[in-house]
Amino acid sequence: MKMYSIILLIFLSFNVRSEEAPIKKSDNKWALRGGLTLAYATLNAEAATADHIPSYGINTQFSYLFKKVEINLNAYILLGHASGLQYHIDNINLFAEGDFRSFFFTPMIKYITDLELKKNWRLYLTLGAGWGIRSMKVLNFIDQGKEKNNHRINVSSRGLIGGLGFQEISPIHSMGPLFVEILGAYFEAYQLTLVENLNFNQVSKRAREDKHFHAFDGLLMINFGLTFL
Amino acid sequence: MTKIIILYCCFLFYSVIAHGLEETEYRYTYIERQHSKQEVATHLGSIYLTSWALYPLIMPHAFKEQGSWSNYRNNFAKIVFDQDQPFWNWLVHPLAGSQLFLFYRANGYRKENSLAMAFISSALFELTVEIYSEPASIQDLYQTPVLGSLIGLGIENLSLYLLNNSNNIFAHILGHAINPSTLFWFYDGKIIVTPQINPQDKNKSAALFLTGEF
Repeated sequence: MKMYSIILLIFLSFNVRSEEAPIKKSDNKWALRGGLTLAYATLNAEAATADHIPSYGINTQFSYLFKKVEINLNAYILLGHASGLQYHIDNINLFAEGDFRSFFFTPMIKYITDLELKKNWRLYLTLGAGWGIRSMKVLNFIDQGKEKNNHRINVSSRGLIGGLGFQEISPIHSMGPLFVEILGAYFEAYQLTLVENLNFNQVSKRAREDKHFHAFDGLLMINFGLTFL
Repeated sequence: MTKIIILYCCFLFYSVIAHGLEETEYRYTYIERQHSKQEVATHLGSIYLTSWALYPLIMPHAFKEQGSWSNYRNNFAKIVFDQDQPFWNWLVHPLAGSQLFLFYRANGYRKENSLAMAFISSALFELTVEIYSEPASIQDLYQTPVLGSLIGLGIENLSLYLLNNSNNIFAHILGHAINPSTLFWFYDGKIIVTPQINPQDKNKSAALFLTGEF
């Protein structure tokens, strides 16, 4: 009986293997893309101050495809260094200089044409609206007779973004089809916020004002990356 | 005679299986499966309740200083660009998103479904939990699931590489540390299921042994 049990035990023992669910037709509809971004922009501020700066960062794209039209939720993070920018908020003149960081959120529509640059690389046109925030250090300033430091100016902006690109057409996204695109953007600032960095993870809002000026006169971006999902 | 033939067949089968087992390496992986609506609701609900429990612990300052039910009402359905430090927007939230993604992956969701579930969980947190202290933020709503899932994919591959391709104990620890969902009961990517009958038991009781390796 013991022998039976042992044999039965061995016979029935099994291990669970890696198993992927079969690919469905809808697999190619959703896409998650990501990659790198190179940008060049004329960064505008108040008092007719501006700086022409290159910047770099990352892009992410979350999309759904309807035949040839794709709905995209995109985001771009850009880093760079700028100087000579002037802002005025709460009766304080501020001079921004140093590293800046930007975040843009852009819902976009993409139309994928049948035109192929090379085999399986299709041309697409894309257009959308964008909202963004740019954060930059400001130099020490005097406020109510006291010198203040460790502040940042945050510029909220909105605008239009569009361009064209090429993307690799692949039967399944796990093959990591590539894309490259060139986008141009026009953004107008609508709000300034002065914040104080309390420490590495906390900020305190010092002042906020609604303003209207060109945030970017022509932001040119080159995005490239691949499809992860 | 029949018993002998059966025994012989079993022995042959065992020999083949045993030979295969000697060369079999159990590997950490993800077993994808379909989920019932009840399972989906349970997973979303457990993450939602966990987020309510963890929020005051992770952000005690925001919870105590800025949090109130009055703020909750004011912040409800309001979405803004937050002014937070990169520490939160580009580190904590995407990392939290990556662990959400990996939690759902460990529960057998396909990659795109894990992204969708992370999206829902993150949105529930932003729109119904975090508003206790501050309005929901566009950066967090987007970056947590999207950038988080991208990071999660990278962590998934790295942790599986560390767990499968190295005999170094530190590599194993690191593999689990960056992907802690592999340590929990719901992760069924590495498991051996062994049926057994107790020969001593007169009733021939049977059992299933679920063996996990850490």
